[in-house]
Amino acid sequence: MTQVVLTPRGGALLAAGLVALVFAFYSLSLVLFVFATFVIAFVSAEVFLFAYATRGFGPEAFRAQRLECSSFAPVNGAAFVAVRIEPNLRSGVYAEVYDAHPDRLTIVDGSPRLLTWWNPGVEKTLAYVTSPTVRGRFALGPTFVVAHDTFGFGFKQVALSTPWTLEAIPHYPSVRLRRPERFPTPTFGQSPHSARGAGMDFHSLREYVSTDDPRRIAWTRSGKGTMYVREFQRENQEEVVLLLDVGRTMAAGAGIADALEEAVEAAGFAAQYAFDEDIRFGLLLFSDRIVRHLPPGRGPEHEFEVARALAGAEVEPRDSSLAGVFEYLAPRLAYPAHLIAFSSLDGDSAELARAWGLLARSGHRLNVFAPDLRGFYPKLPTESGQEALGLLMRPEVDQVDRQAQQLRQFGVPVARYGRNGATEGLNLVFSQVRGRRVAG
Amino acid sequence: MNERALATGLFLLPFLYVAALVLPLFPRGDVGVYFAFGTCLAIALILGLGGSTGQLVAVVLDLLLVVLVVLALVAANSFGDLASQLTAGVLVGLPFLVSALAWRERVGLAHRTVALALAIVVATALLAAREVVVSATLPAAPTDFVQAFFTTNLTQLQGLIAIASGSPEPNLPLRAVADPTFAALCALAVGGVLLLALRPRTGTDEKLPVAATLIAAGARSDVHRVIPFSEAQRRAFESRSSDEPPTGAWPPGLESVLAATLAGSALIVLAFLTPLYTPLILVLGVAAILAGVGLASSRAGSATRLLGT
Repeated sequence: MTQVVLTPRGGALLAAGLVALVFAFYSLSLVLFVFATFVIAFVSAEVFLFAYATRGFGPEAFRAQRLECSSFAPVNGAAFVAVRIEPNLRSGVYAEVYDAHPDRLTIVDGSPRLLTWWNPGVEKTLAYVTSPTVRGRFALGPTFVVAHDTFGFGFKQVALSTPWTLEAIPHYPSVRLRRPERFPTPTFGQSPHSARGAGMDFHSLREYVSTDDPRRIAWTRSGKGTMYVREFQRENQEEVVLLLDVGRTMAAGAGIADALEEAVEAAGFAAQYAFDEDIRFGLLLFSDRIVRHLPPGRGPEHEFEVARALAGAEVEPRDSSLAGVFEYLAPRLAYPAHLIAFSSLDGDSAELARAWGLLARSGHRLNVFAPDLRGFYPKLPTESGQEALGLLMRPEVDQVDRQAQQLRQFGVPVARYGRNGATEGLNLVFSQVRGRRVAG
Repeated sequence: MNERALATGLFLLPFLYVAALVLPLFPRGDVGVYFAFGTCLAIALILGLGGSTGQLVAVVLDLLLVVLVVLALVAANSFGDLASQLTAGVLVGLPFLVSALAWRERVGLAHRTVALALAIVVATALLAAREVVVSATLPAAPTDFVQAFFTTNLTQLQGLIAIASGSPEPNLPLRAVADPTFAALCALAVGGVLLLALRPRTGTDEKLPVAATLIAAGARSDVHRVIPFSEAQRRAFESRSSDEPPTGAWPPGLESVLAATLAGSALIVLAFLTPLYTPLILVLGVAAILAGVGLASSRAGSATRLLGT
């Protein structure tokens, strides 16, 4: 059973009553005796009565459930969160109800907190709209119920298990973030770079517009008042696979603008570019193990999963191995692919060269973006501090430089990226990809 | 009326009464007494009711008073009993200074309680000193009053030590002060403390909803612009709970006030029935209550954990 916790206010008043009693014994003043007695009796009666009124107060006295909560939200978008609590209280009590949430979720509307009188048998519902300010997976809950006595002398608290995960996904204009199973597939053909249109591979159905060729009308799917046309796509097996290192070195940087965050930003840009160009895009997150692998693909569901995987990318406290990734991918890539790696290039250089050799012989191409580790830290105010930071980072910086040099000897372009991201470098890479498509 | 202003007025009453009884003892020519008392009163009012600027003025006045007292003490030979006049004035103003801590807005209930109790003790000592001076000659010399004040307190301490060592007839000058008006005004001052305590609030002094300030949150009509709610989400959002006051006719917390009033009344009855045993019963009762609070609160759990049982 949960016990009463005396607040500083309650404890201090009790102590003050005792001090007043000491004064009363000094002055032998009946007024002071009565005053001290009143104060002590007041606080203790309040505590006893509160303890009695809240007997049985504990986690078992409540049933809490989440209602219609959003699972996904775009960064700076909005998500709905609600929790309903049914009490089994024996008498009315002042209560504070609070749904715990990370401070990176801004409350847009409603409130995750309630301070109210709670009568037995009455349900309470917390509902609020929240907006994630950064990407990531955010754990919501538990929901706390704190019962207060009337004068703030004591309280009881329980934490109700109401776990929920909200995934905040970066918003890329071309990437469809809505859950495909709940929302209709958006209309194709709106992107100026779309490769959809002429071709033989069936892609999807969409509503008929007046400029469509009547020969493409899908009569069997059309109904009264609504006409659909078939869409086809070009036969295209161009594949881009983005390799995203989430090893410990990628945590380099101050605040949230670290090497991984910039890499995720660039990866989102690459995904957006690929989907706009109708290039099959794959994603692989790795450290010294494969964290997540989404083979190259297209379509709203795939785009959604890519965005979701990027949103959940977090640094793992372990080394990374790009060589291990190459060995993993070698038997899994069906067509010659363009690999774009954002990596700190940990591990043995000879092993990396050998593993890349296997893929290179199969016609795959590779572009590496390695973090410029020094560039992720702001300049320190003193020269000695700056020197100390340089000395501390030197082993890792030298390692990245050595590996980059080694890869360049094998003809692999290695670019560096800092806090300004890697957009320019990616533009170059995709211009190469597009050039090959046109040539093909 | 603001409840704090009302409480401040109630705090002031017993000490104004004491000042009104003591100050006429001194000759009108003893300007130092009135100056020191007036300065104390001004400091108390500024400290108790003023904001940050007021506090600055209070500190300046405080320093001014200290400088004056020091100058008077240094030049005691030249100015005669000015030092005694200033000291007497400060003593009469002392309850105001002490109780000023209780008026301050951000002071907790415990501080108010201790400040009021201490101010009542000082005021009682002033009344006892007055009795001593009045029984001698009038008008009283400030020196005699200051001496009587300190002698009274010393005698009280000696009397208490004598009781502890088993002496049958100790001299307790503060006990001799029996002024029903002062007692009644003290009761009003205590009421002032309670007035500030009885507002429902949390332990962090956040106000809890009461029936007089019912807030209806209501449903917002523009939420659909923030997020494309599903129908179920919209229903859940619109049915969210809002802060509600208790709906019962019996105000929460009234039981505690009644229980405390009952305890206070019982003590008065006991004091008249068995004055000798009342302190003993009181001490035993308080010890039992503290043990009970310890059992009911988490401190009991801490003790159990510490003992490993």
